[in-house]
Amino acid sequence: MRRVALSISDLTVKIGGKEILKRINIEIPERRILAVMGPSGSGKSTLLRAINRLLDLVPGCEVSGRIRIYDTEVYSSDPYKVRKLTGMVFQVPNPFPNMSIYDNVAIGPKMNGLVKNKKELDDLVKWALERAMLWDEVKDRLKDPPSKLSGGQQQRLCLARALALRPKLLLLDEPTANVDPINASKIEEALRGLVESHEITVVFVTHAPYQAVRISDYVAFLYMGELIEFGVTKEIALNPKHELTIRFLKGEA
Amino acid sequence: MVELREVKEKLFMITSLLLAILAILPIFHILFSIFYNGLPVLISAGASFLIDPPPPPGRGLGGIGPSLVGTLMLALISSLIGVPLSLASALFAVEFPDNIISRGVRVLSKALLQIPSILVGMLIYVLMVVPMGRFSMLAGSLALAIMMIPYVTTYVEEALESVPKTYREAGYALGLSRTKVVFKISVSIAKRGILTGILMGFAKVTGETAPLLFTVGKQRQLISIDPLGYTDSISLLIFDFIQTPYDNWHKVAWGSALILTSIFLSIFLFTRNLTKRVVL
Amino acid sequence: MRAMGSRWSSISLPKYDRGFYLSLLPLASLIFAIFLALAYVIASASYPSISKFGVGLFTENVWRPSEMGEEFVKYGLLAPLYGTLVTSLLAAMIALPLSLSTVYLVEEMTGSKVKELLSTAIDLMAGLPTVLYGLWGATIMIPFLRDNVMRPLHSALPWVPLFSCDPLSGASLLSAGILLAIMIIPFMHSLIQDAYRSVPWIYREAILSIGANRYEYYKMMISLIKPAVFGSLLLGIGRASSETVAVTLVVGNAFNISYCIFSPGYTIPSLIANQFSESNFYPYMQSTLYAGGMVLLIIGALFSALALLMIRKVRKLYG
Repeated sequence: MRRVALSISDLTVKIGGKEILKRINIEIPERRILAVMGPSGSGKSTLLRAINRLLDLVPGCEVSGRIRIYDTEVYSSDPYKVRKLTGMVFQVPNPFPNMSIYDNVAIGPKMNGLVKNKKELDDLVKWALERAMLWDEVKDRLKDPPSKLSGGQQQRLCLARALALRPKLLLLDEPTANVDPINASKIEEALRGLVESHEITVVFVTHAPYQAVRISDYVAFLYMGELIEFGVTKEIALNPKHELTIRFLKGEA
Repeated sequence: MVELREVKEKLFMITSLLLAILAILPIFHILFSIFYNGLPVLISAGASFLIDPPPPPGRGLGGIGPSLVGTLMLALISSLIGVPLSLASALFAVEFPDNIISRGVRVLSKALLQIPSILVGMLIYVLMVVPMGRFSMLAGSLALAIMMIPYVTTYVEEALESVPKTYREAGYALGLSRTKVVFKISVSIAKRGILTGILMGFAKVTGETAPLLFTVGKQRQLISIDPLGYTDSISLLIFDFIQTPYDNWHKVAWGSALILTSIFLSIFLFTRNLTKRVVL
Repeated sequence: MRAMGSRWSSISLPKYDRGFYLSLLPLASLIFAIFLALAYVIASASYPSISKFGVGLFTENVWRPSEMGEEFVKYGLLAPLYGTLVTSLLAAMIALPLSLSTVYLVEEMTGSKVKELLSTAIDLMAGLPTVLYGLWGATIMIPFLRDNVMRPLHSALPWVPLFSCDPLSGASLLSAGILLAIMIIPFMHSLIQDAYRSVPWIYREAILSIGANRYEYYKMMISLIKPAVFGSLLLGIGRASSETVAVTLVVGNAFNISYCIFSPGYTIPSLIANQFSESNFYPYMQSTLYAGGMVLLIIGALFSALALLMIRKVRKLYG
């Protein structure tokens, strides 16, 4: 019996008085992939950042509604605790430039006290890099700085960094937007692999309909801050109900 | 059952707050002390404090008239010399940014900011005081102008660079010549920032001491506006008087400190109203 | 007219440029003249004493002016050089943690009132005439430090070399170091703040996304700009070493080299401030003072160059 991993109820976000997200309602079970798709400016990135409280950084932000990750109420909990439950990969690869590849992955677990000794840390780093489909390419140069990696490799490193926290929810903000097609497909493969074999739920944002449809189980279509359609990907892809969804899927929106 | 990690965070927050308070406590205490010690002096000396010469050691309060006039004259003359040069340098650097001279100007400007002020005084001593055989207000002004130029240039450069490109392009599109675009558009849009820069430079030179130590002659008995004559400044007076053992001269020092502070604060508050961000 | 390729636009600019350019050129170039004059004057004025006393001018502590004859004259600047080094180092080391704290509060604390207050205070500190710092330092800070810090430390821990001497007036290397620290805080704050602000948003989000708390976040942010922090330390030392009047009023003005920071000492600028006016009566004294100034310039230039390289490293990283 699958539990509900993420539940968003009546989420409304205002920034500087302007409504960026209007009454969003989404619920997904665990170990599934949710794609949040929509054109630029539809509020997708804001939605993602509302989930892990990164929205707190934006001044003049008002949030109403509820978000729940398993049993944790995101907006009544300590934001730092919420962020331990989630891992995030950003649109532009951003591995910490002042640390080695190993340290980039290791810092999360070290800081949060997830491992007891060096051996456990090494194992965890290896696991994360393997799941991010990067281990074979970096296993002999873990001490190198991330600058020695290509953009696509750096993005996979960021994926490993997020995974090292063993998060319950993995959030990705247009993770392949700035990455070449080969790396993009490696990342997509990694995501499917994670969801199938481990206790992780994935939410990723994309503006490319083909990507949303290709790898997700559920899809939510956002337009100008409103949730236009939400449901099982296969159904929506075959039978979109809303005019806007149809246009977006066709590539016209 | 508190985690060490949480303790570290709490400790960090408290320590940062305490250290930050510690960092700004002195300035408030300094300003307070100046008012506390200076106000009684000004009150008992009265308005003539601004006109009279200093008292003899040991007796009375007299005034700082000559030094006050000196400070203002020095600031005025150095601004007359320094401001046009700063404006020219800043305009040059902004209008022709790829020019090698302009890059040199930028680098040297930053470098000149770091030069010890006392060395500037020593430079003018050799270049002006020795050949002329005398100290002079002009020598002091020149030294102050050298201090002022990199400072004001930086402000003006920033102000000019913050003028959005589109306004200038609109000017060119209308067929205006380079000179017209620069003056009627760039400079006029940036005028607040430029004015702030000039005022900050003025404020800076009213407070300078070291460049004047061996250039102006410390003449504090007679009010003089002769550029080639000896003069004094409030800052020099404070510096000298506080090192003496005379109690009344200490009082005069505090009184003049209050006057100097008032000059500084009024310019400071005025420029703060002009623009929100004040650069060093 | 050749296209200037200015960053504003790449259109070919009107002919009037030439006049504009040429009229500004001499004025703008004046700064080169100032620089050359400075370098030349200081170097040539220092030459006599350097050629007479050699390296000893900088490595020995002696101050023996003589009106009797040139054979008896000897100068050695070790004491003021030592004092400059100690007071500047002390100042920068004290100012660094304080500046890191002020940057944290200004950049990360919410509540605009607090930020405004801090920013205003720091700007005030930056502009206040230095003689006023000296006035307060000499009359208020020194007695306070002497009675509440130096005397207690000396009685409690006299065997520590740093505290081994009895503070008489309080005018000392420590007092100068502390006063200088206060004076360079705004400078270091501004430098660190600029570097801090240059870190792209996306790194901040990344740090928070791995669950860093406020302390860990700031630690990681600072480590991302570490070269700039070190650069600002160097520039702080440079700035502190050039300060004259405030230091003269609190450093004690004695040719002293001692481990004890409660002892009075000298710095190059305060030496110059004290001795310059009488210096033309004594052969080689003025030249010695210029030599001291030259050392200050050279070391300052080296530190600045190094610091700028480090700050540029950070700028390149985050552009």
